[in-house]
Amino acid sequence: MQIVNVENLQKNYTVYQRKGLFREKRIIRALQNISFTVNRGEFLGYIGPNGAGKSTTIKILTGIMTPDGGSAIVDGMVPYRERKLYVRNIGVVFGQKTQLWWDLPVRDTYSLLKAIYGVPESRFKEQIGYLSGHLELGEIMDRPVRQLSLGQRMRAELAAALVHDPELLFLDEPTIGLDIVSKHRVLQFLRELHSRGKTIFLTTHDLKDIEALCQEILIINHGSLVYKGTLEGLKGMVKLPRVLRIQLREGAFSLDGRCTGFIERYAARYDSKTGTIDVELSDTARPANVAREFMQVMEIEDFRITDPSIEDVVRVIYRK
Amino acid sequence: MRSVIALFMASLKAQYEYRLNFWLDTLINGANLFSDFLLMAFLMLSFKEIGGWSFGEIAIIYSIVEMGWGIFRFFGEGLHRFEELMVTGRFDLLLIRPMNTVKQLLLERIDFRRLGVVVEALAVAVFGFTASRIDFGDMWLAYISLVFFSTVMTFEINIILAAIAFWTVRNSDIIVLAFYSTRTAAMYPAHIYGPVLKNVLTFIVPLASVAYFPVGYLTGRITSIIALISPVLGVTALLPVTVLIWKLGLKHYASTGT
Repeated sequence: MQIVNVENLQKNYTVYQRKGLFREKRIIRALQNISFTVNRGEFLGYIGPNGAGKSTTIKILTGIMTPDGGSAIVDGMVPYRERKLYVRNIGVVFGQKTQLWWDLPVRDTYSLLKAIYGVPESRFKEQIGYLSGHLELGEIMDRPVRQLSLGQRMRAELAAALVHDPELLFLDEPTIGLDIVSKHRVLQFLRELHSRGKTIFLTTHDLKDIEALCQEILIINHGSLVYKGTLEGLKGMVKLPRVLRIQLREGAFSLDGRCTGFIERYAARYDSKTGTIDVELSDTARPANVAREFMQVMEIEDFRITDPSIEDVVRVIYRK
Repeated sequence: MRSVIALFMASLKAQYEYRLNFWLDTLINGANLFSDFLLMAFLMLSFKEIGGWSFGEIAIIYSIVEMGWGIFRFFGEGLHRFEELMVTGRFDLLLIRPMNTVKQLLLERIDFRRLGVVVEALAVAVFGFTASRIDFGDMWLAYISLVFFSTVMTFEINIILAAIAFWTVRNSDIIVLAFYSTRTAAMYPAHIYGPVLKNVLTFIVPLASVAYFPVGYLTGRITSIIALISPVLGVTALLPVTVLIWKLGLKHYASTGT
């Protein structure tokens, strides 16, 4: 069942550039006819290079901004028309902006949000217990927000977006700047939320997060939708070769003419500092054969075959 | 209503986090403004009167304007610093909550230090009633009503000025020009000014309508009954303008996101 339905969404920004004495008006097309749907309970990763239109999309879907064309219907409502009613059922985290009360203990922010959203006392207690357990908020509950580390703050931030237990979550870079441990905790919690049936819209630059969590991804570039589907499907769409990496034996890094000719024939890349050779394997090539041929002419220590990473795939898409 | 009380208490608690700073600021705030009044007192002592108004009478219009401002700043700190929200983009965070944006702004940062201003304005009023022939026993209701209208008008003007930041992002200079200068001017009898400033104070930033005109009528200096009802006229006329400009501002923000 669909929860988000976006059709032909368009958004333009007008910017003025000074040109001599006059200002020149320029239209930036931030979103050009974007359409997609998100199913209830989906964990969607939303990626795209800086300036691709991600924030614009999130702002429209959270009711902050009105589009210039097209429509967005979320949870049966038009976010930017019925803002006050609509925001009751969404939770939003902007990784770059805090929504916690800076000078107050973390606990107080939750009480305030409870009052703003009108959460009944019993539900509130239960929810805070749940959040505190999974996000390990116990030790920071009574500390003023300004004293928290970034990792602690981000956990508190996530909990703040969930005080009213919304069905739909928009997370805009919730792991930005976090260390490995904090990040792991946050991701773990997102997985838990997803298992409870929440629909999650996650924007991030960290593709490892996406790989770890999302079943579906949405890629946007230059204001247009590039891809919507599974990660596996994406790898199938952009065919990148596997790479055979050959490590030469220590002391055998200097290659003679025969060897370099050989490397050229395979269009391989040789790094004389580390003594590694990367050979791209075509679909028909048999790795064992290639390796054997190299072994006949060079002194080899180790072999490894790597599949193209999701980063490589996405980099190719961003460049288009 | 519960959310309003919760936000109010949170503001109080947040300021109490910096206790010493809080008390010092309150003191300095009051003293600072009192020095404005002393300056006027000094002038009055040498001139005895300004435009036919006695020192005590001027103190009363001064206190009406000042108290309106003090009460506004008590609630209006978030509104006063609205450009910060525009510059940092934090206004977005108000939009993702199920509450009116103006209400959130007014409660975002209740500034208890501004009570110093209110106390100062009260002191000036006490002085005004003692020094002038206006009797507080006859005038207390009128005085309280005028403070009320002065407060409402200060809110209206400052909401309009804050809304300008929806288009310009920065608005602190506009606030100084359009509000602070007119506020100071409105603390003196408006007929001493040239026609331009007098008209500005009557029709554009109509702060004269909540202090000078009605007090002038009550002291028998102005005879037209319009002077008496001018606070109601001024506040009522500004209301739709305020609502409209704020709504247009919100709309502009939603379409540009600046």
